[in-house]
Amino acid sequence: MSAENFLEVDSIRQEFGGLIALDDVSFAVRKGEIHGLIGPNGSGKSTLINVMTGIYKPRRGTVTVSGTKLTGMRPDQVYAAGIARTFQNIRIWPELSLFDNVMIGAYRSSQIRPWNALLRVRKLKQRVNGMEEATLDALTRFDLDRYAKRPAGSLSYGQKKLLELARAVVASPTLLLLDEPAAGLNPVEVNDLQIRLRDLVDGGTSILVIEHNMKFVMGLCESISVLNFGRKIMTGTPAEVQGSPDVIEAYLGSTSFQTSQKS
Amino acid sequence: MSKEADKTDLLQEVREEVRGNRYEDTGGINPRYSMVFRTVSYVVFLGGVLLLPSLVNGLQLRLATLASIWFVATMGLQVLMGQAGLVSIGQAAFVGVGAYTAAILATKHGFSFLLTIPIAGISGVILAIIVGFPTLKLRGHYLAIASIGVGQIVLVLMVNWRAVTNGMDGITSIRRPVESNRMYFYITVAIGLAIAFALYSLRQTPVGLAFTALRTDETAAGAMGIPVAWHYLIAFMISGFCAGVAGALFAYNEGFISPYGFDLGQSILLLTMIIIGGLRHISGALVGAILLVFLPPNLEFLGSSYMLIYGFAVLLVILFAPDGAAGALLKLRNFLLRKISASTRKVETP
Repeated sequence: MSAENFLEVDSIRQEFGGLIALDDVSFAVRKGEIHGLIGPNGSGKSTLINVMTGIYKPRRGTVTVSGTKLTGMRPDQVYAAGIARTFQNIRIWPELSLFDNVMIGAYRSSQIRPWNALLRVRKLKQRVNGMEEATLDALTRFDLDRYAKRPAGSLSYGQKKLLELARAVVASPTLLLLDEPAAGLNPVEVNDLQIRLRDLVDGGTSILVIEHNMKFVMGLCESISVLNFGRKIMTGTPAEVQGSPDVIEAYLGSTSFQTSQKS
Repeated sequence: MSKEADKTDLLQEVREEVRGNRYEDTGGINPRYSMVFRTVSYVVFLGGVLLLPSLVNGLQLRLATLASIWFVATMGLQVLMGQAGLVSIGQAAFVGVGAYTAAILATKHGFSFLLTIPIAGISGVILAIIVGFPTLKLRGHYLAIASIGVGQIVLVLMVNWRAVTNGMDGITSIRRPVESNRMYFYITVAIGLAIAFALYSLRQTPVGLAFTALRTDETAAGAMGIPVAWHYLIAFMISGFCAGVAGALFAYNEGFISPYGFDLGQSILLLTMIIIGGLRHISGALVGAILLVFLPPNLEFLGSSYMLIYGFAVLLVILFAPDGAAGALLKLRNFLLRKISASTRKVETP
């Protein structure tokens, strides 16, 4: 494939027992692009993100990001390769402060590890300071800095989603995988999220976003891939996807039913 | 310029408060008071340790030495269970390996105390690595059962590998580096406090935070870049090191070791120490070791009802102080300091 492709998903197949969750799924995302991943419930979108981040090992196929093969890596290695994610059902540490939640995301790149912390290497203090600065920057970026000291569990739902985003960007990833970031947000928050994501892309991050909110996806993404029953139906611009009979069929049922209604 | 300064101020403020609140609630406490309290309590503790041998009889001093030995082993469990969230009911096996390593090196090869102590710790680390690879894929109850299995395997080795361990007869005449009970007590306390200091400062670094993240949500921790298996293994190795050192201290203290001291009962005793003392605090290991070493012999006057009352007391702590005795003490301290801080603030305002 062409060199400008940043993320390449190549014929991924994932099975759970007898169920084929992903069946030869391939698509590519260019650098600095927001790519949407849509499809009905159970079509394999979250499974694909779990495959990409090393939580599942695919039966076949590869995922590469700017030439680095992600398949076969552990989740923490994927993160170290510059790919960060959010979860569909928010996974923050509710008892920890917002600050600590985000700071955990800066642990990997800080180079602080049990053995060098135990030996108290000279650079330790400097590394901790660097982590803390990056943490406050990420919180500030999502307007959460004034709650930094509060436990994360005390936030509203929308703020928790922002916190997950702040945690995901603290190590300046090159690729963000967002699993339904707009779900459960009110229209004002959805708008706000759109602006923030565009801002991230302007900063050079590429984004793959799963979302059911069609207005959000169509307004935000430059290209969209559609999954149905673990198969990719198509990749195209929002307009192409909206006009595709296959996509309409996947969401609403058979076209023959619709045509029979019309006639 | 001023915006930059604002940011630095905010960072400074947030950093200090977040660091202080990570493992206990210090909100509303004047930092100066907690500093004073800390200094005073350290001085009292160290003074108590120094004076203790002159104040108590031989039996109580012996118990105090035992308490500081089990404090070392229990600190390892605090890292493993309290910080990383892994359950082990096989800690005595690691203590035993450390004890036998030290005993064999000292009696057969003439190694000095200063050498055997770290080597015994390393023997615990090696056992942790050997055991860790197959068992650390397990979690929760499964790991707990596996750790019992490890304990039994090590026990069987101690009993049957006669060429090395001398079987049930054990190893005798392990000579202490110092004759006096008082000096040996000081040595064990010094080693215990040195390890406690190292573990405490490790916990203040982001590594402590990484362990908390692992304990509470392993999947999220992995997805946020924490090498999950490696950190579990590190916690296991730290725990093994502490147990190994404790085993060596124990061997020298008794002068004689046999497999009896390192069975499942001992593992459960160490586990009870950290739970009663408080899983979430390193000081929990100290409080737990003191309570469980001193209480049983000193409750003997209760006669046959002793076990009943002892069991009931353990139950009460678990029910009403889930953070253990150390957690309860810290809460009380913070409550008092908060009261004092609030009352003095009122005086200062006008």
